Amino acid sequence: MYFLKKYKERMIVAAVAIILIVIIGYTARERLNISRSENLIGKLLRPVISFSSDVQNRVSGFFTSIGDVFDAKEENEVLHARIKQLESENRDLQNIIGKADYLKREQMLTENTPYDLIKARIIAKEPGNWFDQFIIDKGSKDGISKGDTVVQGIEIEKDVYIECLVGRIVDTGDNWSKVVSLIDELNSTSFKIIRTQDGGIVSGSVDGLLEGYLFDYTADVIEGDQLYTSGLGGIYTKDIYIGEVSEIIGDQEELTKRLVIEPALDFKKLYNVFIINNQEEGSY
Amino acid sequence: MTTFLVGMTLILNIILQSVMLPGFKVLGASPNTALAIVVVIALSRGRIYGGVVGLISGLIMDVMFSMTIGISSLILFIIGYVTGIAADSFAKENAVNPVIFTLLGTVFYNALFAMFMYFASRNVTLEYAVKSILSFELILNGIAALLIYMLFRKIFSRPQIRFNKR
Repeated sequence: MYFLKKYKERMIVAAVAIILIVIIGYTARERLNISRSENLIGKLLRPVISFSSDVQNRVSGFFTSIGDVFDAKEENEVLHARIKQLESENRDLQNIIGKADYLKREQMLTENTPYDLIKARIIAKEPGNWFDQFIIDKGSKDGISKGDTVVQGIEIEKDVYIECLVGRIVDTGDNWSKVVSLIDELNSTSFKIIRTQDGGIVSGSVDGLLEGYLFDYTADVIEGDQLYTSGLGGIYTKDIYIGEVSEIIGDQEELTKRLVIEPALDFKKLYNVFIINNQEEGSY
Repeated sequence: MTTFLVGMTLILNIILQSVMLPGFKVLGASPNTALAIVVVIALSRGRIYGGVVGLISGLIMDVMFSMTIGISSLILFIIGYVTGIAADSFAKENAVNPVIFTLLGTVFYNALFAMFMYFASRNVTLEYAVKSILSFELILNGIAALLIYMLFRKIFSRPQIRFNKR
C-alpha cells in the first residue's frame, strides 16, 4: 500500500500513456466505423464550427470589400471621375462574371453527370501541418458512407464539364464527414493515362506534391498526358479526372518511371465539394 | 470558474485552429495554438492541470481531424505534464518561459509526430522530418505563446489580498 501511495501519480501518468498508445495502435488500422463517442463529439462541435466558418467567410468578405474600396479610391486619384465610373462598372461586371463562372461550373456538373451527387460544404480544415484532410457538413444521414469518392467540377475544354477527383470519405458521423484529400500522403490512387491506357499509382506526399509511378517502365508517357482513375482496387469510382503529367523522372537503375502530376484543382481554394452517392450506378 | 474558462478556451481554440488559421498560413506553416495554450496553462497551474488540459485538447484534435486517435493526445499530455514539473523551478511572472517551453514543445511535438508517422509506415523521409521540426511553425508558436500568456495573465490572475467593501 505504501508503494501504491508513494508512486500513485506516476502510475496514473504511465497508465494514461499506455492507454493512449494502445488506442493509437488500435485506431491506426483501418476501422469499419467511428466510435459512438467520436460521433457525439463531432456532432456537438459541428454546428459551432459550421457557424464560425460562416463568420470567417463574412469577415474575410468584409475585408475584401474594404480592399476593393481602397483600390477604387487610388484609381480615382490617378484617373478622372468618368474612368472611375467605368472602373466601378467593370468591377461589378467582373464580379458577376466571376460568380457566374463558379456557379455555372457546379450547375453544368450536376446537369451532365452520370452520377448521383451530394453537394457539401467544407466547414473545417485539418489544423496541423502534417495532413491534408478536411471536414464537410454532410454525414451518414445524408446518404454518405465511408469510402465514397469526393469530386468537384472543372471545365476541361470549352463547355465540357467533368468531375475532378478531390479525395475520399474516411469517416462519417451523423451530420459530418472526414475527407482525406488526393494530395494527402495517406492517399494512393490507381490511374490510367487516357491516351495510351497505361496504368500506375499516384499518391500524395507529406510535402503536398502529387507523385506517381507507372506499372510498366517502358510505357509511353509524355508531359501533358491526362490521368483518370482506373477503378483498380475498388476504392475510387472509375474514370474520374485527376490531373496532368507535368514532369517525368526516369530511373534506369530501379527500372521505374516517376511522374510528377499537377492536380486539376487548386486544393487551397476549395469551398464546396460533391460526393458520389451510389458509385456503382455511374461507373461504366 | 477556472475550469470553465479553460474548457471554453479549448473549444474556442479548436475553432480558431481549424477554421481561421488554415486560411492564414505563413510560409506553409500555421501556428499550433493548442500546444501554446497547454504550455501556458501548465506553467501557471502545475503538472496535473497541464497534463489533463494537454490530454483533453489533444483528444479533441485527434477525434476531429485525425484518423488515428491518440497521437496528439499523448504528445500534448506529455508536454503538459513535463512543463508542469519544470514550472516549479521557474518564476511564473516571466514572459520568456512560455516562449522557450513552447519552442521546446514544438520541436518535441513534431519530432514525436514524425516518429509515430515513421512507425505507422507513412513515407516520412529524414529530410522532411527535420524540415518540419525546424519549420516556420517554431516562430509562429513562439509568438502565439507570448500572446496567449499575456491574455491568460489577465484572465486567470487573482488578487492575492482581497478587501471587502464596507
